[in-house]
Amino acid sequence: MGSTFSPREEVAQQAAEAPRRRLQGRDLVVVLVVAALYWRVMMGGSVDQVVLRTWATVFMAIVVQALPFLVLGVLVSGAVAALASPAALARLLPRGTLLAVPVAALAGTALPGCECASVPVAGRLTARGVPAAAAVAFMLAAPAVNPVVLVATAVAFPGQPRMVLARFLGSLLTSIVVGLVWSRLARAAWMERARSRLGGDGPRWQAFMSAARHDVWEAGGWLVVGAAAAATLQVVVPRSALLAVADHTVLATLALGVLAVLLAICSEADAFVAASLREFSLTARLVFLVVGPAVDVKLVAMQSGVFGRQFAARFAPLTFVVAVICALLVGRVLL
Amino acid sequence: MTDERTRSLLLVVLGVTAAWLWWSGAALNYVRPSLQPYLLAGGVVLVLLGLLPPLGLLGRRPARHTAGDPHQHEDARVGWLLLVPALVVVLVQPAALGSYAVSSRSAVPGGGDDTYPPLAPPVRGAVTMTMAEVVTRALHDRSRSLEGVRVRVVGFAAPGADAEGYRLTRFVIFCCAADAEALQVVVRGDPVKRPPDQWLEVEGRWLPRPVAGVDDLDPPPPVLAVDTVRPIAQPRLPYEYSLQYGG
Repeated sequence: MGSTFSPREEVAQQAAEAPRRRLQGRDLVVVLVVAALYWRVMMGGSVDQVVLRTWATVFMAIVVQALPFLVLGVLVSGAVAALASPAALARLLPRGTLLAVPVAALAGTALPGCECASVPVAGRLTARGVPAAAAVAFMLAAPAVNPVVLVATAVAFPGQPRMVLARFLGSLLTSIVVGLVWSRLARAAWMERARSRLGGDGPRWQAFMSAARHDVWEAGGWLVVGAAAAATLQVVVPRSALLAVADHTVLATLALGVLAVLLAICSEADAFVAASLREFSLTARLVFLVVGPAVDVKLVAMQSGVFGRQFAARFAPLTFVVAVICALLVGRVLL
Repeated sequence: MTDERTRSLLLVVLGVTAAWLWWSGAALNYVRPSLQPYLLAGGVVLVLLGLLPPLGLLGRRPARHTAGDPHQHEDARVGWLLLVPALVVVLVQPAALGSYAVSSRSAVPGGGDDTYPPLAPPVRGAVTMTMAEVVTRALHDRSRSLEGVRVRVVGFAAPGADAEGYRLTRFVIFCCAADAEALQVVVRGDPVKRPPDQWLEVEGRWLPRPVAGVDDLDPPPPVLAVDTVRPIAQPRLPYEYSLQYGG
């Protein structure tokens, strides 16, 4: 069905429809279209067009790469809304937080996807009454310790199986620690948005559809925000600026942590990038691998969409600090 | 607030964009080929998610949002950004990463375990190699398997250091273009000045140099003395997909 009408016609149709809507949606689209046209007309042929094209390629690469995982995520999330009753979910998880968090983290290993899949699923689990601590542990563990990621890490670091083990332990530890800390600190208000989500009522097919549509709308929109931010940072911030500090142990560790946040690379590919950062110690590269799937600009955008801004503003710094510390601890023992 | 029909339309636009990227092959500028089928599947699901409720195939439409929730306006807005990928594809011709992106992404492949498979047999007077193989053998192979061999390699021109001419460049991607890393060889002996981003197929011999020391983490790129340079169109697969060749 895809080839019968082109995206160009679709966009034209879209643009024609937009003026009839009320203001909120329209003004955004108008701004975007005007900005796009401005670039096209004013910057044609100049040097800046190269910058724009590079930005567009990186942006689209992140979106295209994430799209199948996002779709998988919203299908799972629709299924959770339609099929898993709060009572059934409560029966699956151990009662106490101390047990529920590690169990949820381990359950995350069964979803072999990227970060983009786990955010809407975690939001939907929260909406169905799963404790916040368990839901965030699941969200952090799913992209970081699944089999696909571990195999990719083994391929990227041939002859260094300790790196695979270190990554597994570092990420699992991070998700459990963050989950437990969150269960102590978090207030219900921070996750109000996830709790008050739509869907789950009416016949099953309808509950599935409305939950999946709602989640793709929200998580997808924020994915676009995150991809745009990551692409901008990739084009604007030269990687060499961060690599200059490779010799300094503490700075190097922080630099690779920050790099992981800025690059927003898919967790199935970041091991290859880490392998090529040969100026840095193995421990610093482990920090890169543990931080990346847990917190990056794309994820913060999606989390602020799914859980709300209050959540993201607290969760991202907490996760960053815990991930760096966990990676350093595991690196000290294993590497 | 955005009504259900507008949402449907935006989901269909995004799904059709994904399907078009797959159908036209433009997605190869963004991701590795093995991700392409998943892109199509994702696009089809998005179109279905968009079309099924308005067609009424699933009974009555989902209930509207509860009124008066302060968050709902923000919710409604952000989904409009699903239009952006379609706009970008329309306005900016899909293209592979080019010479502008090289400076922040240059990479040196690791040495590995120092065992190298035998060279492929020469075809029309030269051994066809990936950029990863040329660079790895040149920098790390102690048995100097590249010495005296006429190699053929494809890449695009990127500006080199002063008085160096240009560097033949190829990006390696692992998942998508956001994780690309650049591999380069310096080209000597081409009398023509090549514009940046011109794709070239060159044939020539490696100028031997001692292998890079284990501590040398940033050795200069290898040098090819070329005798044949042929401008070509961008290959269907614009990237290489592994730093480890042959495996």
